Amino acid sequence: MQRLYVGGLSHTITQKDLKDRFGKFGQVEDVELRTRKDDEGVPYKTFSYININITDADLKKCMTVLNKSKWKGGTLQIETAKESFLHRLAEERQTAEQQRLLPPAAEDQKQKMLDSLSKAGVENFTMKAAVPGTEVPGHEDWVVSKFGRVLPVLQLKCQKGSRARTLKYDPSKYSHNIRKLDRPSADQSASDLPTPVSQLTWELQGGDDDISKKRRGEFPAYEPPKRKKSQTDAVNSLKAEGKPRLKQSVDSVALTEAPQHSQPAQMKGPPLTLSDIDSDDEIHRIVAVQSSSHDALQQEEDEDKLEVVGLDYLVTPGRARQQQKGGHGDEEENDYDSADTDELSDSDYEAMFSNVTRLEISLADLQKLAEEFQDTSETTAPSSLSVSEQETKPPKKGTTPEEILAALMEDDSSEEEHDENEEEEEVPKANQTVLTSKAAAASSSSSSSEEDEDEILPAKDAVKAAPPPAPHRAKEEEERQRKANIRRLAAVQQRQKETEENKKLIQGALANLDAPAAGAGKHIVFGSDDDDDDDEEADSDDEQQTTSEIKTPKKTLFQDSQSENEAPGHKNTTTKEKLSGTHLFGGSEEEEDADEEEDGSRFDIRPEFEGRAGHKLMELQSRFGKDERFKMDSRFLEQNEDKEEESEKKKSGTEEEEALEEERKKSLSILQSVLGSSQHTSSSSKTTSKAKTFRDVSALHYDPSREEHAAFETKTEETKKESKAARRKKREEVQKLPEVSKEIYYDVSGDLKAVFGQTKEEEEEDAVAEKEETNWDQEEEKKKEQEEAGEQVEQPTLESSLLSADRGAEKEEASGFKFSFFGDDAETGSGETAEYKIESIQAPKLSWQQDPRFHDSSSDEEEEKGQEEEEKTQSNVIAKIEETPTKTGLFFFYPEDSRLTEGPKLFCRSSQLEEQKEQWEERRTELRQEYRKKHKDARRKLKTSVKS
Amino acid sequence: MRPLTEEETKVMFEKLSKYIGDNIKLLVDRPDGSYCFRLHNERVYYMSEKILKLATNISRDKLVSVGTCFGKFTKSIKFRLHITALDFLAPYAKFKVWVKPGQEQSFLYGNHVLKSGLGRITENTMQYQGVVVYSMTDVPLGFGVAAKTTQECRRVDPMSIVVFHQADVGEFIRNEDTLT
Repeated sequence: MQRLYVGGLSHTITQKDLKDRFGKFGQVEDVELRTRKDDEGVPYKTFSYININITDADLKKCMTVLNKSKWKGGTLQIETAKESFLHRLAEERQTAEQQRLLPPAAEDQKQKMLDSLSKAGVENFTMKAAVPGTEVPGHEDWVVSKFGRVLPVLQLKCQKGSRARTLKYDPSKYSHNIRKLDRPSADQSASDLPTPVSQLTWELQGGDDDISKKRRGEFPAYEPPKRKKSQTDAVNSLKAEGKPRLKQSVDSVALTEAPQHSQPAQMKGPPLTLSDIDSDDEIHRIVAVQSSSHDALQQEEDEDKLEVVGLDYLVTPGRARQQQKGGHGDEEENDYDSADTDELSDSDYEAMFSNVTRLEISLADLQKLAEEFQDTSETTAPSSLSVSEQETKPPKKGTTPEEILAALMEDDSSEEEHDENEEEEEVPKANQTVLTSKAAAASSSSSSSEEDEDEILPAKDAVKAAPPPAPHRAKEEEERQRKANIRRLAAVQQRQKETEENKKLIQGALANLDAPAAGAGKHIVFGSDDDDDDDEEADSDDEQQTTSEIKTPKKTLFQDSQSENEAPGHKNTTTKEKLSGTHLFGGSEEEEDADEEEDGSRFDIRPEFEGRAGHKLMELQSRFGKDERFKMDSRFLEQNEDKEEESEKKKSGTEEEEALEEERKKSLSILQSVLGSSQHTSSSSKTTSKAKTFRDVSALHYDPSREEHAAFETKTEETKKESKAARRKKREEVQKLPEVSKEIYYDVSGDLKAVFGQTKEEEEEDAVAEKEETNWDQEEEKKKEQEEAGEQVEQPTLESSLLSADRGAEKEEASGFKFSFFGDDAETGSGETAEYKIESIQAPKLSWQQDPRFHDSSSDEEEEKGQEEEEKTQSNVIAKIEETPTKTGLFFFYPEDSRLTEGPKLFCRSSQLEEQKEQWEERRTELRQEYRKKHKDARRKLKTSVKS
Repeated sequence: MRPLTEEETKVMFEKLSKYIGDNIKLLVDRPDGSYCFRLHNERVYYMSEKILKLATNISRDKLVSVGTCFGKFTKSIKFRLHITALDFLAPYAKFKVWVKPGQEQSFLYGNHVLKSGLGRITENTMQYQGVVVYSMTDVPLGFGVAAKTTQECRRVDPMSIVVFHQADVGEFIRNEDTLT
């Protein structure tokens, strides 16, 4: 299949022409004709691609014949072209398909080999428990190399000079050269994962030195040097043994170090999420790398670290100390906790060690292998050594390097009989023997250090966490640890006991101190007199107490006194008899107790009875007689002279104090001016000065005899009450004024008459009843008006205005104002409303006449009785107006009643709201003034009437 | 030794109020006795009444120091706080700055506090506000003046100055001979 480019064609050429032309040389499969056209659509170039099945010879022929030949007015130009894209794609797909079909055969072959290998005991190209160099049984070209990996023996052709030579390359022989960089192929899934960053950067140098760390502000937390050394030892010893080991050791080191250092805050970067188990040094290195590469990033982190506290931030040194211990901010304390070794669960442990090389070799296998290779040649020795090294690996499952080391040593010692003949082993062994002692120490130290970290979790747990490969070894380990633990516990118990004992001693001593509360100290003098007594008492002491150290003579003295007070036995009486030689004033035991120290100086003139004041005291004493309760001693001495002196002193002192006080005040005033807060400081100074003469408020008792306590008396406000009573009286009086407003009554009745005259006569009876009611109503209203005189109770005035409207505005004039809710219209409308107002009384009268609010509004002397109420009543009235026609039919209304036409207008706003508002506001002020005036007048009138 | 004049008092209080605000009144009238400020050798001493009385027994030219020296007046009657006043400034300070352990030493050698060494700062600190500098363990180290507001401190680059140094406890050693 060839693809040809044919250029220089004339524009008239068709596909068929080309097909025919090239068909001579081979089978034309496809012709692609292209024509280039310029902007006007005139073709200027025509070419084609031809897919043709053609042999090379034919192609050559074709080229020679047709190339540069003239055809239909064009010079042909033939070149081999690249395959068409589509074609190629199709081809590729095809090949892919083919390959898919093909592999089974190849895989079959592979599978066959794998099967045969597995039959020979090879799994996943690894042969467990096989010494490097062993041939895989059944496969002569396959050999077990280092790490148990099965590799083919290579036959390499070597062209050396003229003759060819085949070279056999046995990988097992070069096994010690192979470094295993990747994870074991045994766990395929694990090998797919990328190696953790922490492990990749393990050997990174730079930024690790102390200076650069300090420059970054990171100070390594204090660490016991001995421990560190052991760790580094472990690391170093393990470093020599190749990468996987190193890895493991890193993990273990990280494990042990993590709890000691809290990780720095910079550790929170995304790539380091797995770094919980990373060692501090590693982290520092990583951080250094990061910080050097990303300055901006670091800045960000700095920002995060910057803490802003409120004004009320409390300084707490205790917390700070803790921080200091951590060496970092308090937010890292959480990390600290999380990374604690002792809290590691088994699952954690397993996860950690999942990526660590581990060969499951049973002891029996090892023995067998060892025996097999005891008499092998020199070449196999290193490989066997490597096996032994592998053997040692599995038990290396402790959580600390010390433990690992210890386990290692144990393993080695237990396997000594297997490895005896290996010379290479000798040197490390010697090392190990040295190390074993170290390891033992280390393990013990590790347990002790754990205790130091106040986690009293026994090391047992750590062992438990590590599933032991060989049970008996673990047992040994466990046994040892348990023993250590028991020893430790015993020590702790003993210490506790000691402390308890100590406590007891002190308690006992103190109990005796406490018991003789009164006058105990005075017995010190007394002690010298009665030694025998002491001894006896001491015996009893011994019974009481188990201690002997604190038993000092002083203490026994105390006990003496105690026993004397408690139980006046025969011993005590004897002592008293002994003392009674000088016992002249002794009346009772208590007195004796009190006067003990004055035994010798009993007849001396008492200093407190000297002088004028002393004489006074003496007299007092004689008045009380020998009563012990009223004994006068020097404390009761009046100190007149001293006082005088003191007063003199005080005078000068007060002057100074005054000066100081003045100064202080001055400074405070300056302070005020400086700070600008005048009130605050002055008040505080007052409070402080008051505080000097502090009095407990809770202890304050009211003393009616004291004048200053009058402030505590709550004065009953009688005046107010009086005023209230007076007001009430006034109101009552006002309500008793019935005689006024007779005229109006008549007026209304007359009006009514006129109104009812218009209506039918049947209603006359009703009208009479109404009259009465209106009578009464009017009367009441009048009364109210009288009593309130000027008060702005709009309701009655409105009523009155409504009622009297038709007869003129005399009422309105009387009240001095008229209120209309609807502005100017009200005047015009009031006439009409007045008319039916009176008529409508009948139906709803009860509802509004007996409205308690209505009465209240009139009786209460409040200034403005709310506009809304008034509104309500008015709307009430209007509602009534509206209702009446439907109810009474033609009783109040007649066809084409003007009221019916005008009435609804009342509901509509006649003017703008703003205008109304303004008007209302104007009027309101007027009304108010007027009302006040009237109110005053009324009061005056009342006063005069009362007086008269 | 004499009491401060009104002007002097004012100048001094203005200075003090930059650090402790209206807490000065706690110094002026204390509930545990009367304390006062006295001027001696251009220096202001804060002392209790008792000590004041005792100090009267010593002649003026022989008296080196009495009570606590708060600072001194310059020739142009400006008040300069001394580190000895820290004991009274620290408990009443309104605005505080905490320096990281790495910068502690630098500050104690008389350097300004840089952003990189700033561990914590009181919120709403204004520029040129007097601040007391603490270590992260809440030990007062000295005082200074905020060069940046708290908000600016967040944004500024790590090598810029955040607090201007005024006095630090290192002066007790450095200026041992002049401190009274």
